[in-house]
Amino acid sequence: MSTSGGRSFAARWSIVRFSPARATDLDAFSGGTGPPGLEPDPRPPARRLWRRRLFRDRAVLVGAMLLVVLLAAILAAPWLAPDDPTAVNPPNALAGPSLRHPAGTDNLGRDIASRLLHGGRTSVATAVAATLGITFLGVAFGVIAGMLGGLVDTLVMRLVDVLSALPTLLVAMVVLGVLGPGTDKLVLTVTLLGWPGYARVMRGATLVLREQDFIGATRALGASRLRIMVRHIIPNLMGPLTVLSTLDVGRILLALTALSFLGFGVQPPDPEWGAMMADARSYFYRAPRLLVYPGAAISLLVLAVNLCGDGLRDALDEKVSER
Amino acid sequence: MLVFLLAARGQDPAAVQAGGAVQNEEATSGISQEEQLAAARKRLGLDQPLLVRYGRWLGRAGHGDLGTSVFTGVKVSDEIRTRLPATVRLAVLAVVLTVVLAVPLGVAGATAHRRWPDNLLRIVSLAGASVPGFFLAYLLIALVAVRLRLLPPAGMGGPRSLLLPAITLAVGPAALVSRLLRSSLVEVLGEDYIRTARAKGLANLAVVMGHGLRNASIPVMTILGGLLGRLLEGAVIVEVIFAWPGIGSLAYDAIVRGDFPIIQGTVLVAGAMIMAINLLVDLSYARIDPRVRLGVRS
Repeated sequence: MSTSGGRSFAARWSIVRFSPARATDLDAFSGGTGPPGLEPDPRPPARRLWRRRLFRDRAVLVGAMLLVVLLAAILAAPWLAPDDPTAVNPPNALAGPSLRHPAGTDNLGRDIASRLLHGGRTSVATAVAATLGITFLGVAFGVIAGMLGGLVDTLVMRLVDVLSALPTLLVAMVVLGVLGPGTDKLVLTVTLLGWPGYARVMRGATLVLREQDFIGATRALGASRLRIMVRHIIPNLMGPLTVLSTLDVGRILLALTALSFLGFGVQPPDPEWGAMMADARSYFYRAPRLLVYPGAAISLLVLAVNLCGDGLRDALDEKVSER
Repeated sequence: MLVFLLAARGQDPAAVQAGGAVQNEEATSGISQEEQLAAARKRLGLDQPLLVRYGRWLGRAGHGDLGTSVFTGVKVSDEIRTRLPATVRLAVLAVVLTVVLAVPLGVAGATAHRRWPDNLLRIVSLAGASVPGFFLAYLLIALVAVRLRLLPPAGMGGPRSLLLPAITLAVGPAALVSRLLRSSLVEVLGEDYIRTARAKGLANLAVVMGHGLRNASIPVMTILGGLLGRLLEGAVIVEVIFAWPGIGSLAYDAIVRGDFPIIQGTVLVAGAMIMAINLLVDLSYARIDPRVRLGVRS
């Protein structure tokens, strides 16, 4: 979405960036399709090579460290938070930083630090849930369309075309405006609007895989189509899939927080970064702190994820790395 | 392609229509008695089955009649017509800014490949892609409008008020385009024809700009459609924050108020714009890259 949006954007982008790498990745993962009878390749196996490249990349290390610190803080929110994130204390509203409230208090006197920590749980949980949902739907539809072909393929791909032509963020707003806001509905909407890009990539990869010899061999051994899909196609898609979803978590998080910011997602008094920023809008001139902290939190988290995803892609993409 | 266009046209207003009706009932029931409610339903044609209503709406929409706003009584087509130019102006400036920001950054990153400016630019562009537009908007308002008093913080008053929203819109896409342009340019600069160009004594700048950039922009073109669509979506948030009277803020207000004819109209227009952009990009792609026509890949 948007930000999401831009689902079609991310999808196209991934396709473009992956196309040169995909074939080689899949070759490596499908256990060597090189011509038989040659001397074994003296280079270390592809897997170890990309891992080494990944850890040599300082940007990835910074991103990973940032990510670990943020996630640890968020996970430990109940123990780290100095106060109850929903406890109001109006006389102490908009207070500056103090020992008791390290980040000050908001317009209702709630502790901002506690709300940030707890809000992160919601933001991260929704982003992870939506990403998993999108990945699941994308893989399911993509692999089924690619394997079965024919009418099923046509129907699924037309649905994908229609969904990716929609202005995603706008449609999500409309759907949530109609259903009424709420965290569960937010995740559901983003998931249902988000899978087409994945389905397209997964279908393409399935079409490539399906023609490879080891799939033919499996079929000759009498494996059912379901078994081929679950045991042979999907495991081989995991490489590109990991990169795709790592690169995408940040974008999904941005879409979710944007919708919450506009008031269509997480509802008060539950803390969530986007919703916190929406609350802070009216107090922006008096206490910009209220808006800047959650905004910075979103930015840092997304940056951490993007650094990791970017490094992961570079490490897996031989063409970029070996230049 | 035609099927896809038709399907998309049919798909989204149907969902919107169903939802809009539900919400309208809620909205009216809040302010009126039972019989008034029934009258309102009858007047708006809501007593008809969903499919009939949808068919009727589609038929009218085909003639350019999108109905009238439930709240203001203004014709939806008029409302959209007055709001559209503001969004188009914003989007065009944002696209220009995207290119102005992304091309130098991408070229700098590629020519300094693997050295510190490249790494710095990598962090900068990733950061640009990571900051949510609604946060960036407030940072810009605080810094440029309030602290430095250079530009007006919100509203529409002269060309200067266009700058902040356009910058906000452009940063995300610019970050992504510069990343893509960089990696594409790195690839192109390793090609044989670049070495040939250098060998015949061309200045570095001429090689990069004339031979490199042109070829490197081909993959960038392919994402342009999605990029513009994304820009339109970002426009919703940006218009709401900057109180910019465009299609995005129109849609947002309509969703909040449950004004379903407006919602339908704006979603339809936005969908049509995205499809038109995608079509244009597909056509121009074939025109820019001669290999698409020849069917020969290097």
